[in-house]
Amino acid sequence: MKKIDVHAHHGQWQFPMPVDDETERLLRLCEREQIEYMVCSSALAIMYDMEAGNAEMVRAIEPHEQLLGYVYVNAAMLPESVEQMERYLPLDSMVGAKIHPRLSGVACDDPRMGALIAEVAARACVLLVHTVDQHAAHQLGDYAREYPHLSVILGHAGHTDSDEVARVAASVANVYIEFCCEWPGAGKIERALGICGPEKICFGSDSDLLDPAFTLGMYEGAGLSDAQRQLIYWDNAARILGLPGRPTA
Amino acid sequence: MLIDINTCFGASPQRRVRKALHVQSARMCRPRPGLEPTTQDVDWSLDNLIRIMDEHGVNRACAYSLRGKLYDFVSGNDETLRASQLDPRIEPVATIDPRRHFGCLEEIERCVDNGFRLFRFFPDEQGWSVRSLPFMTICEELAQYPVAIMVPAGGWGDQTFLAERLCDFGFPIVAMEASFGQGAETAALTERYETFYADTSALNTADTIEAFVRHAGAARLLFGSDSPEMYFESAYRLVEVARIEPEQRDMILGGNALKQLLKAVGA
Repeated sequence: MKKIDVHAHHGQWQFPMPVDDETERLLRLCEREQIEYMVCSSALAIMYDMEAGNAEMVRAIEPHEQLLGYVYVNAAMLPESVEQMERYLPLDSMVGAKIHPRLSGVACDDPRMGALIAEVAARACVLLVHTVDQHAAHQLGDYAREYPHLSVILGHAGHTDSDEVARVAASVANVYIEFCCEWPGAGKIERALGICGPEKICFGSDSDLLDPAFTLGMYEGAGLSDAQRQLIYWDNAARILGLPGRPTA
Repeated sequence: MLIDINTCFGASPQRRVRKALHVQSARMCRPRPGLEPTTQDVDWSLDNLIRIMDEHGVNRACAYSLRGKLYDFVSGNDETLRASQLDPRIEPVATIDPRRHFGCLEEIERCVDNGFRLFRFFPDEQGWSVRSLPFMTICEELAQYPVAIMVPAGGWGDQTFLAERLCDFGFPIVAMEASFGQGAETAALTERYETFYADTSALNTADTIEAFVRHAGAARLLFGSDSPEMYFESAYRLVEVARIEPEQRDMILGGNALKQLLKAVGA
C-alpha cells in the first residue's frame, strides 16, 4: 500500500550511518517502502543553522515531486522564523512548519512558543511538533484549539506517553499523532486506535534517523485492518496536507 | 533458522515504561497536575512469548525471567529453567545481580550445572556499575565455564571498558540494545574484538546493519526483538530490508546465534 510519510528529515546525523547523498537516501527509502510523498524538515536547520538548513533542503527537494518540506522555525528566533515562512511557504513543495522545542531551547508553555505558533497559524495549515511528553501535548492541544484551521501533528506521539497524547488527539479536532520513535513499545498503536481512532493517526518514519521499516514494524505489528491502513498510511495525511488523489493499492 | 536472542517473560509490578534518558531530560513543558506517568499493559507471560514465537516462526528464543531481574535471581533462574523444559525452543538465560554479592559465584556454578550457557546482566535497571569489583569477580568465575554474557550497551565507554577488561577471558560478549547513541561504540568494538557481538533489536536503521556487515562482518550481529515489550516486527523488518547478501541475512537471523553463541558455548 502506498504511503504518505509526515515526518522525515533531510540531512546528516552524527550516528553510525552512511555519509552519502541525503536526497538519494530518502528517495531510496521511499521506493523501498512505497512512500509516495515524504515530508521532510532540515536536520541542519534543527541542529545548527535554521536559514542555511531550510535553504539547503528546499534546493535539494525541489526537483523531486515525492519530497515535500516543512519550513523549520525556532521560537528563540521569531523574526527570522517569520522571514523563513514568508520566503518558503509560498513554494509548492513546502506544506507547513516544523518546531523542535528542545533543540530550540524553548518550552511549549513559554510565551515565545505561543507567539511563534500564532505566526505559524497566520501562514500555514500544518504544523509538526517534536512531542515527547504528555504535558507538552496538552499545551500543544491548547494552541490547536486557538487555531482550528491549523492541523497540529504531535510527532513521536509523546514517546512513551502515547496513551495520554492520544487522548489529546481525541479531544481536539485538529490534533493528529504519528508514532515514529526509537521505542517500539508493543501495544501502543492498538491502544491509540481505541482512544482516538484511526482518523487521528498518521504515518511518520523519522527517516533517515530511523528507518521506515522500523517504524512500519510498529504499525504492521498492531494488526491494522485494510481500512485502518488506508486512513493511517494515506487518507488522513492527504487530507491534512491537501495532497491529490488516492493511491492505487 | 530464526533465533531471537533478546526476549523475556514473567511480570512487571510497576507497569511503568522505560523512557530513554535523552527523552526524560527533554521534557519541555511545566508538568500539568493530574497526569500520572504512563503505564503500559504488556502481556509479559510465557504464554505470550510462545505465541509471539509461533506467530513469527521463531525457532529458538533466548529468554530470561523478569523475576530474576526484578526480585530474586535464584528463583528467577529456576523459573527460566522450567520454561525451557516446558518448551525446548526456549534457550534459558540466567541472570545474576552483583548487588547481592554473597552467593553469586555459587549460583553461577548451579546454573552451569543445570545447563545454562548464557548469562545476562542489568546494571542500568538494577543500579550498579560494570566497573565494579563484584561484577568483575562474577566475570572471572564465568571465565571458568563455556558461557557467553549479555550486557546492555549502557553509557558511552561502558562497552569499551568491558571489551578491554574481558577480552582475555575468551567468552563471547553480546552488547544488548545499542541504539543510535551507542551504536558507534558497538560498531568499533565488533571490528576490533573477535569475541564481541551486537544485538540488533535497537539498531534503528537498515543502513546501520549494512555498515556493521561491511566493517565487522555479518558474523558479529545477532537478531533480537526485545519481545514481548517491543513490537517484534520493528527489529525484524530492519534485517529483512537491509541490503546484504541472503546468506548474511540468514547468519544474522539465526546462523550466528547458533554457531557463534549457542554451539560455541555448548548450549
